[in-house]
Amino acid sequence: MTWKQWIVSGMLAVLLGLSLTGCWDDETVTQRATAFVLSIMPASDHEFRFTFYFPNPAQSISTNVNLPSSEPFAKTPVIAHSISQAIREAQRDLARDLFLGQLQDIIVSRDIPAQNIDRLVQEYNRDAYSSNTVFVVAEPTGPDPLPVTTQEPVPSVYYTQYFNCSTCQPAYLSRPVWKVWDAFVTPGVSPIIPYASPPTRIVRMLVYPVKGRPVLMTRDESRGWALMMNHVHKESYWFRKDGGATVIKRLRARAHVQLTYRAGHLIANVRIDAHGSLIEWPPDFLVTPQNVGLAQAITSKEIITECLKAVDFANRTRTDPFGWGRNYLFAHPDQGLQFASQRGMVWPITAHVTVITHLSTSGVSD
Amino acid sequence: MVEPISPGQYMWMVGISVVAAGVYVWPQFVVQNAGTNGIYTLITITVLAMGLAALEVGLALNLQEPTFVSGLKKVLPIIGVGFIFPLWAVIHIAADGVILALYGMMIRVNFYPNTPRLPMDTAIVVMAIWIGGRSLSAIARSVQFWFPIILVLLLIVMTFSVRNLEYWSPLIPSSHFLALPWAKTVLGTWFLFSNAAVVATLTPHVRWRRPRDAYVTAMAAMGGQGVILLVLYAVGLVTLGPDGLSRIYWPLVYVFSLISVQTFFLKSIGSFVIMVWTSTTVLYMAVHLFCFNWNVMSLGKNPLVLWRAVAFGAAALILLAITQVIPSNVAAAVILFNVVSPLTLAWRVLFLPILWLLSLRYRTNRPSEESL
Repeated sequence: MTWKQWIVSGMLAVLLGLSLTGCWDDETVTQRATAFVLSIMPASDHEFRFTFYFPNPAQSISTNVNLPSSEPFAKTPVIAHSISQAIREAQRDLARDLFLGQLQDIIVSRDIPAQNIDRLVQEYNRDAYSSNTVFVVAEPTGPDPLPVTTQEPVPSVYYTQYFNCSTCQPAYLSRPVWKVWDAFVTPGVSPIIPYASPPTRIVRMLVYPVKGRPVLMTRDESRGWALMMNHVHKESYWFRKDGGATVIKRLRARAHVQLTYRAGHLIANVRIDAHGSLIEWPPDFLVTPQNVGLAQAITSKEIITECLKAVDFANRTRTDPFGWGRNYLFAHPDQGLQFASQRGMVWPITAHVTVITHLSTSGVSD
Repeated sequence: MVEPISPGQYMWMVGISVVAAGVYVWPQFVVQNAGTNGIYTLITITVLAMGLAALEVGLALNLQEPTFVSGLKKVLPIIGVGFIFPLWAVIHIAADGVILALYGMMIRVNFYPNTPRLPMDTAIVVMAIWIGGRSLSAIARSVQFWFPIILVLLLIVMTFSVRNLEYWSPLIPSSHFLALPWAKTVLGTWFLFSNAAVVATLTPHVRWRRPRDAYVTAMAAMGGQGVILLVLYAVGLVTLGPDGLSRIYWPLVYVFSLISVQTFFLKSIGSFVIMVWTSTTVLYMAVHLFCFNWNVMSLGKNPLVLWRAVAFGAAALILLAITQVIPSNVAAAVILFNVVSPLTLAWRVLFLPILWLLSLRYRTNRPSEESL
């Protein structure tokens, strides 16, 4: 290189160094208050109690939040009518920058009506800096019992652990906030989120109609929903018959849904292929092909009952937690011209459920 | 004399000069206006881009001039240099300026909330001039090296988003074809394929075996970018559905932000997108500025090195001024879709066929000479 080129390259390097971006947004960890969980509980008619939970990373740093090291989380509760107002109010109480980019879970009260949840989810989603993969979970209204898995060096939240493991639970019920938002803005589907009954049992789902209080599914209805939505990984069934118990374990189901429209009804033809293991049977039960067939028939019948209960729930509450109306509108966009503005359930559902269960016996026969 | 490049390098350069920079903003516009019929729009602009690229290659091969502007001087000495060329320059610099402004806004809105836009835009322009200020073979090698890496990174990011793909039926367009939304979206998204005479400028400097290869290579570059457009559109639509997609300003950034990978050290793998798109924007600007500068220089006789630097500096200042004048991303999107993009299409559709016919006449009237 000649000396002129050296000078030009040097100047370019200095210019690039000066203009390197990101410096404006640079904040150290000790300057940031990183919230892990946001819980939203009703406070009055138009206001909510927002609580931000901050992890207490380790004893050495705990001086930053003036917290004894035995407490895994610090709390900042505020009363506000929107998330942005809550952030502003919480920021007043904090010496550090409130940061929501690492948020893991949003806990909402089951008593907040659908239109308010809609507004809050829209508002949360509108902010491009907040994380979109946050899990949403509903809880009964209460003084924020946050389940914690204490772990070094950073405490972790039970719900995050629970939902991150997609194959740990019998049925995978997680709903990230972007899916909830997408269901709120799309016609023909009702938003649905898992409900944690105290202390932390997540087996039921909460469905949001267009307006008013959300409706809680029973256990059977939730299981039927999960079966038809392909969320079931390793369910188990237990029947008492002929003086003994029949137990099916590790039942995995795969559902295929075909939608047609006839006379104001959405007809869903659901075919479920279920595979499971026959683990226990009554003492006088001989493991013959006929008897295994009988066990398969009982299991199929139970699955059908649960699925039909879920469909009944949808028709009774005028919601569509399956999103079948949406799927039909997507596949037939011309129908959508007249229904496009209608949210929630568009058509009542008639379901025909066919279940084929395959049971295998494994391990020790007797 | 300029050292010629290979057909492969030519294909990568033509490829990066279209689609690359504006890749993150258009799905909302398309889906909002045309709904699930947006797929027709994308196919239309890709086919149109392939046709116009073939016309541009024909123009360049007929004239055998070093640049687009020197060819213009040959066939239309007064109108060409006095009217068509300034129009071309203004429209395409404006398009690049608005695209750069949108890019800076996208980075700011999604990743660096407190950083002003000017330093980010300046960094991109300086990098682009640094790459685009070198010789043709040097820039061709840079593009040939980086563009495949960018594509592989994009592929990796898209592989991670496979888990979120859910609604396949909106990919099938509605049975009602509506002409007006189709026309509006074709006009609005044409900026993706408006390469500022990159094809016409580069075609004479490639070692072609046969003239046919030139047509095939340019059309393949356009078609390949069209396929990438279709794939990005499909990923957005299949993840969110048309109702969700039409409500998001930066749909593709949003879609990639939904990827969460637990097993990696880096949790949101979607932030690779910043690297991918910043480098594509830099290379896109570099190729555009390089061709622009070369064309402007061929107006005079013996360009000094100093003049090249002045032209680059002026282009940089205009681009940065445009990014600073535009107040918001909503305004930038409106300007891009409703004004700049239709203008780039109008220029191409109005003048390119005329120029091509003139070049054909020029070629047949030329005393018998060894043609390519």
